[in-house]
Amino acid sequence: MISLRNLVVAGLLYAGLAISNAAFAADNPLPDIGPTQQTLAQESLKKDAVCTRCHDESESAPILSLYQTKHGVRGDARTPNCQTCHGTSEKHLAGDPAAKVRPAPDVVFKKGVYEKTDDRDRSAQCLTCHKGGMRNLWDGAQHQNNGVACNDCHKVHRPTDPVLTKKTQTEVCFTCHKEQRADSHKISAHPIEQGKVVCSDCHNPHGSAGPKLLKKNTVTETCFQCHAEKRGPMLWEHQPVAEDCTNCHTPHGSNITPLLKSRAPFLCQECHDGPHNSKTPYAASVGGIQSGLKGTATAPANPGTNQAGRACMNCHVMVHGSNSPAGALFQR
Amino acid sequence: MYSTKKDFPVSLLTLSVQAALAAMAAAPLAALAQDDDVAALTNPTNTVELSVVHVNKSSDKFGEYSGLNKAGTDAVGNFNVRGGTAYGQNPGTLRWGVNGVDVGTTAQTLNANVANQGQWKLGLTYDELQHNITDSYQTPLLGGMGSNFFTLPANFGIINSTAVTNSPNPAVGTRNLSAAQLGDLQTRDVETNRKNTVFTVGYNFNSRLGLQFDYNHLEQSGAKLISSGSSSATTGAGAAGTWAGEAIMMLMNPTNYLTDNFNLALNYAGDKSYLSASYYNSQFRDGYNSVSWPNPIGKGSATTGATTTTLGGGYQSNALSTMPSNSLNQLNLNGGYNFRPATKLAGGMSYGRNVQNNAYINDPSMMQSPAPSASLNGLVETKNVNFKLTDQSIKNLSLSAGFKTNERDNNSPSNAYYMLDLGAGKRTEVDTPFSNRKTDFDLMGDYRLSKDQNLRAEYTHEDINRWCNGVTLASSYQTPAASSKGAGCVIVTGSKEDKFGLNYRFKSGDLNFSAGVSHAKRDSSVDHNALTALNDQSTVLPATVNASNYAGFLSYFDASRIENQLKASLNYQANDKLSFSLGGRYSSDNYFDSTLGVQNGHSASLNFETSYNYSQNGVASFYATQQVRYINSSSGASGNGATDNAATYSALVAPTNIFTTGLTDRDQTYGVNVRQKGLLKGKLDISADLSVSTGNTGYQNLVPYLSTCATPNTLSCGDTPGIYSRTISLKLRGEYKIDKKSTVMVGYMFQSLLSNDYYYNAYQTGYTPSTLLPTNQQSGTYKVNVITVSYIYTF
Repeated sequence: MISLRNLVVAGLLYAGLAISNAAFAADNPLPDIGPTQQTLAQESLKKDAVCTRCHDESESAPILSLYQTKHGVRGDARTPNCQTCHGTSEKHLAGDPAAKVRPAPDVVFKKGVYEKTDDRDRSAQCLTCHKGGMRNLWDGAQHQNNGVACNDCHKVHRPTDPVLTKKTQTEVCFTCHKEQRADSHKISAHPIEQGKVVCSDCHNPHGSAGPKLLKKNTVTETCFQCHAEKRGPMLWEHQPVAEDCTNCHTPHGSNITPLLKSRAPFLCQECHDGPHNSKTPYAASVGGIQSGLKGTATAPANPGTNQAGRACMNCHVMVHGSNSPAGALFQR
Repeated sequence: MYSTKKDFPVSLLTLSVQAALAAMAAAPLAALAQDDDVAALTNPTNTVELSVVHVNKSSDKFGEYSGLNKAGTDAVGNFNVRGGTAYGQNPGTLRWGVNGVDVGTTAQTLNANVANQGQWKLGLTYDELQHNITDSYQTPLLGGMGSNFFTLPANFGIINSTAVTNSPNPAVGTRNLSAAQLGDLQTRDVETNRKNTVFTVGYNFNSRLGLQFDYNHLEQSGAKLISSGSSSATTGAGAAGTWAGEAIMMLMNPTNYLTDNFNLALNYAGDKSYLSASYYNSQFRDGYNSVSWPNPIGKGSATTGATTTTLGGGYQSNALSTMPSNSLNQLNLNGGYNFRPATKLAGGMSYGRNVQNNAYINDPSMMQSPAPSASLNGLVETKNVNFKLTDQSIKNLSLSAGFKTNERDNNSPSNAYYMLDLGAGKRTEVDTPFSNRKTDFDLMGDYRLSKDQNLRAEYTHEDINRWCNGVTLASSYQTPAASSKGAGCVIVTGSKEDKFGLNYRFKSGDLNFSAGVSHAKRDSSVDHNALTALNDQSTVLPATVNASNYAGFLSYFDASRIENQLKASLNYQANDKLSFSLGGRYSSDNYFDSTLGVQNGHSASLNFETSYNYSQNGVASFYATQQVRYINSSSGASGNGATDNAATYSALVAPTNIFTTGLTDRDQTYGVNVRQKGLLKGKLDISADLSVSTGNTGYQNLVPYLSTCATPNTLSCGDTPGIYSRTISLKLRGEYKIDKKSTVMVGYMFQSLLSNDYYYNAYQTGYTPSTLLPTNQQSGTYKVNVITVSYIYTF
């Protein structure tokens, strides 16, 4: 005779299997993963449990959020465990009854109860896997030389890494690069504040062959990624343009549109003092009649097109180079 | 976590139950009754946000990039949804996501991505950006934004550039527009639109070898403002000399561009080595090769005020070239090898070919004779080689040695072009395809003085060479003539720079300090006569003149220079709640070899920031940045000797008339922000951000040789009007969590810009130069309020 208890247990068993199948099916509409991936995941979680039995959901920092990220994909054999990055930390695991505070883990990424591990050792943990590619020239590059480690910018225990999201990347960089923050607030700037052009669009902070950690080999190559219309080559080239856009422009922000270091005619007079009106001094005359320029009885006040408004560039408009046979003076 | 222990006697039934439970454990762990807190942390939080945004005032400057340039109320959406078997500690590896930012605006971004981690990934992004340039530009030109052909209204008539009226302030030329002409000035919004689509795919053949493909399609439309000067030589309507030369009209220069970039890379990562080989292709296409406009400004009679121009033949026609279509193909190789954990070699090389063969525009009115070819057939080859060796095998010492060379080799043909300038002057010009090579060697040693201190020394040597390949030398500058190759094309053919740097770092506990100093000296090789053979002014100026500049004048970017820099920063975490940081930089340049040109400059910045956690859920911070910059330059002025001609321009290094110009730039930025979470029993988060940014740029001119420089009809010495701007931005935000799934957000933003810029003076009706058509552009000063109410659904 089947007892009530047996019926209940059988019922529970049936229900459990049904639920697990349904849940599995709901979470995974793709064909069976197979035992290998599952085994990998289970083994991986078991290893994590060494740490997560204490560092669980009750932590003030959302460390379990790591499982939302690429570092938390347990079915991927390459995915690290807690101890892959933080070290086996045997002393930390064992504890020390005589000590007030448990010994530190082998690698401490963030200052809290324990001091941070040296920046090079912290980076070495990440570079074990993340070598090559964009980090090819990390060693000896500016950030490494100045004591910056990977986790000073990257936050792996958060659902999304702020530095990898356009809307929040600049806040991370501006933590140290405060002059560039100030520049991005100026009247003429790239759409940095709007998160449309961000630091990593031009720079590779992990190290690069270009100057100032630019992504490409030169300044001009970097700018041409978005401003390919200036790449040419032109029939009539303007030497400072062909060499380096920053001879005239300051890409992070400026008081002078468009992102200029100085304004014509003064900008032009930094390289020209012979041809045409580049050898003429200007002061308040650049402001024209509104700045007090007056005429005489026989000659009405006439602000010169050489100095007012766009000054030289009222006529010499093709300053980035011209492809017209008549464009030698950048007028065409 | 959870336990599966059950208290059953051991029996066949028990074993069956336990087997069933084990089977359930083998299923995805999310199938079990997971702790809610764990689930919340390990599964993605998806959000869909719908906002209503009200802007109280239109302003292109306020909405320059945000898409909020028009007053009114709009709906804006944001969403971020992710899923896949890889979340929630599941054993799967599939991740997918869709997200949208500012959907419904001209600054929206949409993205979809899916990946089977470790095997393949796909991503598609669509991004829009409208750059609102101005909403105050006025023009009589018909043709619309994006057009390359402009006309004038039938009733516009002629502007007599020398007409004089009997008013206290004589109105001349374009300062004396008729009522009809003023009525034809229409306000146009000028903007450019960028629509960028990015497609990426990656595939891992195995754990070491992978392929990555990135494709980017950028469409640009709209227009940017460009000035334009008319040519008095243009024939067509009226005889040569009928129309005013160098008459200025501001045009909406069309940006009808398509750019396609793709990059295909094969990446290998071994135990000790890694290598990446990639091919990059970029194609730029311009939908137009010229933009045409009519010039209505004619020459007239100064005495009678009558114009000699009629409209019988229509307006004078002019044409500007636009940016030529071009392409770049580039091969890249990057890699590294770890000889041992402490010793690594990394580097790369690349080779690129950039070509341009756009047909020239055909404008016979600007040429004495046809161009030697129909297009440039331009070619620039770029080459780069770089490597760096680093070693940390000696205890406490890190060493690196690097080499890189980058060459831009312009192999475009050089020919003589017999053209006319805007004043109808005949000119023989030779194009000079610029080439350069920059080579750097650098050495670095970083020594750990103690656990907390590092000292780093650096040395860099940079070599720059400049040349042109096969520049044509025309034997006569006034008529077409036979030519030969071999002329120089640059005054400064090369430079060598040595830079030394020293940096000290201290890091201990809560205090970080860093200070560094560097000194660099650049010596340039100068040949002031290098362009003699190309100097088209040879009938006016002697052969010794420096590209028509005074001998002794050097452009700052390639002149000899001494540069000194000093940097320092201090970061201090006073306690758990309070932190400070203070930093500064000073830089000075001295162009010691430039008799004329930029003489020196210096710049400095000072930054201060503090942050205070006044409660467990509240933080307030303040920052301030001060920046200053000065540049001083000298120029030789006209009037050296009796007249400016070959007899008086001489080999004098310093002409008698010299004026000096000083640039001063001062900027301050301040910011305060407060974040408070968890009010109202944890349901309410609020934040406030206030930032103020001011900029002030001005020039000072000294003209000692001209006693009348300060008279009101000259105003060529003293201070220019300032270029001043002040931006204030206040953002308030409150988020109230109604329940687990629903949040309401209310936001308020006030932003104001006060801008005072003399640049716009010359474009105002009644104040323009006599041959410049007004546009009435304004500086963009605004005060705008924005209210946003959002509903955020979380699941």
